[in-house]
Amino acid sequence: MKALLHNIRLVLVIFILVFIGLVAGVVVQEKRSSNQLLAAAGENKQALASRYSQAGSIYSKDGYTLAHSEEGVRMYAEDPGMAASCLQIVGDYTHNIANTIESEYQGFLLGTGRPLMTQLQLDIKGKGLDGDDITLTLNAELNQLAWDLMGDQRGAIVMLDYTTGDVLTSVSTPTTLPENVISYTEIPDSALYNRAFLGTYAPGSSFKYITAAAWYTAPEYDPNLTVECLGSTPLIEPDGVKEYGDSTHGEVDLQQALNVSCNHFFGEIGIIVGDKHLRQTVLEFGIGYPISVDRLSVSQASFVLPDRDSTRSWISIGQPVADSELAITPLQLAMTIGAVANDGVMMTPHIIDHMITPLDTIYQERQVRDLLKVCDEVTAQQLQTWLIGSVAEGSGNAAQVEGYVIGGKTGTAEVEGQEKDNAIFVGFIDDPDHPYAIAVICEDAGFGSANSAPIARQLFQRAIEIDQR
Amino acid sequence: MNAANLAYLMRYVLAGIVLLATILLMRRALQEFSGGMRRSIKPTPGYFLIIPSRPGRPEDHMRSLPLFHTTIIGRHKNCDIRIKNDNVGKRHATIYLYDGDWYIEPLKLSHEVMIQGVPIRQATPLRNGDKLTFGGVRGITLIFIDERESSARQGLIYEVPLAEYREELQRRPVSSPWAWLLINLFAVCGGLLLILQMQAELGVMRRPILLMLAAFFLIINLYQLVLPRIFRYSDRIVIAAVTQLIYIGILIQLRLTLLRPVVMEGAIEDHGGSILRAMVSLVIPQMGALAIGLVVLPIVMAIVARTRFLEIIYPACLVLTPLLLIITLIFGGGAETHGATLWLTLGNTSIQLTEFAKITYLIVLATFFKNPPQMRAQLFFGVWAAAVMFLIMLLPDLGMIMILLPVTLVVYVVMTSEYLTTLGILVAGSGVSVLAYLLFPHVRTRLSGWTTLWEEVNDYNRQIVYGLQAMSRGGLFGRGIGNGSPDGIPVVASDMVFTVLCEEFGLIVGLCVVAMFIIIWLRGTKNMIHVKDGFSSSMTLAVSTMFFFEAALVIGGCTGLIPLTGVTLPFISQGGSSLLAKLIMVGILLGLMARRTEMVVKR
Repeated sequence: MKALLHNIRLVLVIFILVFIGLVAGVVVQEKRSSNQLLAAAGENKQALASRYSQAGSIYSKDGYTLAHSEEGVRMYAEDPGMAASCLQIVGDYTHNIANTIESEYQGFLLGTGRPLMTQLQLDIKGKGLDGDDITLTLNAELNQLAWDLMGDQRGAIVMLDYTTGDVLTSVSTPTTLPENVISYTEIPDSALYNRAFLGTYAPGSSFKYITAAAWYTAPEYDPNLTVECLGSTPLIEPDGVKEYGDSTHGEVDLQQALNVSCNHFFGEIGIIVGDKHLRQTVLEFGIGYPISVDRLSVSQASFVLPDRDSTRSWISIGQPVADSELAITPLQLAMTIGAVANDGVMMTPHIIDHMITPLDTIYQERQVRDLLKVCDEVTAQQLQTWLIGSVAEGSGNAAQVEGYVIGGKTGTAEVEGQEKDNAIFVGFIDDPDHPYAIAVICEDAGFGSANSAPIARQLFQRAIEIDQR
Repeated sequence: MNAANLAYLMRYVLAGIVLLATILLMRRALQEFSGGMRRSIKPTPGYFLIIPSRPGRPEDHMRSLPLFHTTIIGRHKNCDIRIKNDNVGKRHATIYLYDGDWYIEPLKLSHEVMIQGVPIRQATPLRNGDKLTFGGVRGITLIFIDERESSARQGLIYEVPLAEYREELQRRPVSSPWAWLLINLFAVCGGLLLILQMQAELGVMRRPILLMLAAFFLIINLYQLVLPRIFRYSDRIVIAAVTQLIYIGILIQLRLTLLRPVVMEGAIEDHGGSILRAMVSLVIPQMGALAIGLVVLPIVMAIVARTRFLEIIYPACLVLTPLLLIITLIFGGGAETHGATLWLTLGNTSIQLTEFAKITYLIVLATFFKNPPQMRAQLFFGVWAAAVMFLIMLLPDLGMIMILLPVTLVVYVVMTSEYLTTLGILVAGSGVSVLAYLLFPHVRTRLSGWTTLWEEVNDYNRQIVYGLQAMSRGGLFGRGIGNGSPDGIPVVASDMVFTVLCEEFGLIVGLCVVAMFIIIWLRGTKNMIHVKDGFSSSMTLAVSTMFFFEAALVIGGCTGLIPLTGVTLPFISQGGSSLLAKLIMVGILLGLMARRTEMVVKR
C-alpha cells in the first residue's frame, strides 16, 4: 500500500505536468493560429460564407450599396454593371480576389478583434455580431461609367481628387460579376487582377512631361531651344527613335514638341540633362516610391536607368528598351499628373472614406495628408501650362471638355508581343471646384489620342455634372 | 435582438458558468487529494498478521500487523510490512484481497514463502491461522488471522471495531451543490439558445427537440440526486464533471446537425423533403446512444458495485478482446472514408466494436495488475497485449494503440513499481514509432501534414489548419452557440469537435473541458486507495487514466501539438458506440468507487 501511494504521487506529478503542458499548448496554439495561420495558409472558404452572414456593408461615397449581408447571404451591388466595375476593389467574401476591401478589411467588416469593453457594449445592445460598415471614396456612378466606356477593351482607369487623394474611380477590365468569382466559374482571363493598382505599364509619351520637368529644372534649360525633327532619321544608336508614321515635325520648341509628341525633341533634351538629373527628377516624382491605398497594396513602379545616352533618350520618351526599366501603375500615373495639377504636392491616396460601427459611431475618417513634394510650385505651374496647351492644341485634344481647362498628355507605348500599342492618357481638370486627375490605359488599342483621351473627356464631363447637381 | 446576437451575448455567461463550475470541482478534487491520502488509508478490519511468540519474548504475541487490500512484505522501506532479515527479498511477497478472498504470492520465484512449512510458488489462498514463513528456515514466520472465522469458531459474531472507522463513516461524501447548480444552469441556457437558433423552417421540430433535451436533463438530474443516495461512496464530483461534459456534448452535436443548413438541407433532400425524418436520421444515432447509455449506466454501476461480475468475466475478456478485433478486421468497413476498417454494419446501424474492446482490455489489464504480479505473469500479459496490439495495427487504429499503451504503462508502473522496466518499454516504444515512421507511408504522410502545419494547407493537415482557424475565430469567449463556422472542417463532429467547442464556447470552456478530465482522473486516483481491493484499485486507475489520455490525445491532436490520430473526445465527439462505451466505463468507474471496505464488513 505504501508503494502504491508512492507511485500514485509520482504519476500525479507526471499527470499534472501533462495537464499543464496541454493547457499551455492549447493556449499557445490558439494565439499562434490567430497571428500566423490566416496569413500563412489559405482560409477555409466554406467557413467564410457563414462568417460574412452578418458582416458590415460597403458603401460608395455617392450612397450606393456595393456589398451587404441580408438574411445570412452576402450580396453585392444591385446593378450588375456597378458590381462588375467595382469588383476588384470591393472583392468577394470567398477571397478569391486578393487585395480587396472584403479581404483586407475582413476584421472590420466582421467586427472581430474589437476591444473587450467595446464588444461588451455592442453585445448588450444586441449588435455584437454585426460588423462595421465601410464607406469608400469611390464614386459608383463614375466607376460604372468608366467600365461602360472601356467596353471590351482591356485596361484600367483611375481617377482621383488631386487635392485630397480620394480615389473616385478605379476600374480594371476585363471584369466579371461577383457571383462568378464566388462560384469560381466563367471568369474571363485575368479578370481577378486589379490592373489599376497592381498592373504596371510603360507610360510611353505620357511620360514626356516628367522629362520636361527635368529639362525645366536643369541648369542647361533654355526656353528657346528648338530641335529640327528629322522624322524617320535614326536619332540615337542602336535603333534610334522614329516618329509615328515616319513623319517629320520640322523645327519644334518644347510646347510644339509636346503637342505633337515629338520623340526627337524629348530624346534630345533627355540627353542634354544627363542621366543624373533625369534620374533624380523621376525619383522626385515618386516613381519607385512605395505606395499603398489604405490597406490595399499597390505595385511599386520599376525604374532602372543605365548610364548611356541611347537608353536615356528612350526613357525620356517613356519607352524602356534593353536593360532599362520603366513601368508604372495606372494609380500612380494618375497620382503623378495630379501632383502637377496640385502645384507639385502629391497627396496620400485613399479608398476608405470612413467606417461606421453598428452603433453609428464614425471612425477612421479619411485624413488629407501630403505624400510627396514632387517639384516646386513654379515648375508645376510651367508644366500645367504646357500640359494644358497639349490638350488645347495638341494630341490630347480629344480630352477637352467644353468650357473647362484641361491639361494632359497622351501616350502610345509599344509592348512586345502585342499587335497594337497600349493607348494611354493622363490628365487633369485645372479647376479648384473639380480637382480631378485621371489615368486611362487601354491595352492593345492603338493611339492614346484616339482611344484613351475621349474616355477621359467623358469621365471629366460626368464628374463635373455630378458636382453641379 | 435576434437569436444569434442573444447567443453572442450569452457566451460570456456560459463561459463564466463553466469556468466557475470547473473551479469549484477542481478545488474539491484537489482538496481531497492533498488532504492526507496517507492518513486516509485504513487497514482492512478483521484481518491481520501476528508475530508468533518466541521463548522469552511474550510481548511479541501482542503485536498485530494490519493488512491492507494489497500488502507488500519485504526489506524495502516502501513495503507495508518491513522485515529486516537478509533472507527476505526487497519486495518479497504480497498478501492481497481479491474477490473476497485473501491470497499470498511471492513476488519472485526465487523468494521463499511457505504456508505451514509447505513452499508455494504461486498465488495461494489464505485461511485463518496459516503460518507464513518468509525467507526459508532462517527467515521469519507470521500468522494470518481472519478474525471473522476465529470468532465464528468460538461461536461469536465478529463486529467491526467501529470506533476506528467512525471518522470515516461520519465524513460526508464530497459534493459541490454550487457546481451542480451551475452545470444545470448551463444546460438550461445552452439548450434554450440552441432551440432559439434553429432556423424558422425547422420550427416544427423545436418542440420535440425541447422535449428530448428536457428528458435528458431530468434523467441526468435524477442520477445526480439518487445515485449518491443508493451508493454512498459513489463520487459526486465525477458525476458532476461527466454531467458537464455530456451537456456540452449534446449541445455541440445538436448544433452540428440542426444549426448547419448544409447538413440539414442535404438530409431533408435525402429523405424526400420530410423534415421530421431528416432530423430523426441525424439526431437519433447520437442521442439514441446517449439515451441507452444513460439507462445502462446505473445498471452497470449497480452490477459492478454489488456483484463480482467484473471478476467473473475476466477469463471471457481474455478471449473477447482479440475476438472483437478479429470480427472487426474481417467484417468491418469504413476504410474508404476513414482510412481504417472500424465499423461493423448491422442492418442500418453501424457499431464500432473496438470501443468495447477497450473496456475488455482494461478488465484484463486490471486483473493482471491487481497486485504486483510475478515475472511469469507479466510475460504472459506482455505476450497477450502484444497480440492485441498487433491486431489493432492490422486495422489499423493507431489512435487506439496510442491510448492503450500509455494506460497500460501507467497501471503497470503504479501497481508494480517497476520503474526501470517502464523506462525500457518507453524507450522501446519510441524505437518502434521511429520504425513505424520509416516503414509505413501513411504514418509519414500524417507526420508531414503535421510538420508543415504553419507553412501550407495540404490534404494531410487541412483539418488541423481549419480547426485552428476556427479556434482563433472563437477567441476567449467564443462566438456563441450556432454562430461559429464549422463548415469546411473535415470530420468536424468527431475528431475535430474540440475546435468547434472552442469556436462557439470559447477557449475558456475548451480549457475547462481539459480540466474536467483531470478532475475525473484525480477523483479516480483518490478513490484507488479507498476501494476494497487491488483489482478495484487498478481498474479505477485504468478507466480514469483512459479518459484523460483519450482526451489529451485528441485535444493535442486537433490543436496541432501532436500528430492527429483518429480518437474521439469522450462524451463530446460524435459516435454512438464511443459514447455508449464511455458511459459504460463511467458506470464501471462509479461502481468501483462504491466498492468500499464497508462491503467487506457487511458480508
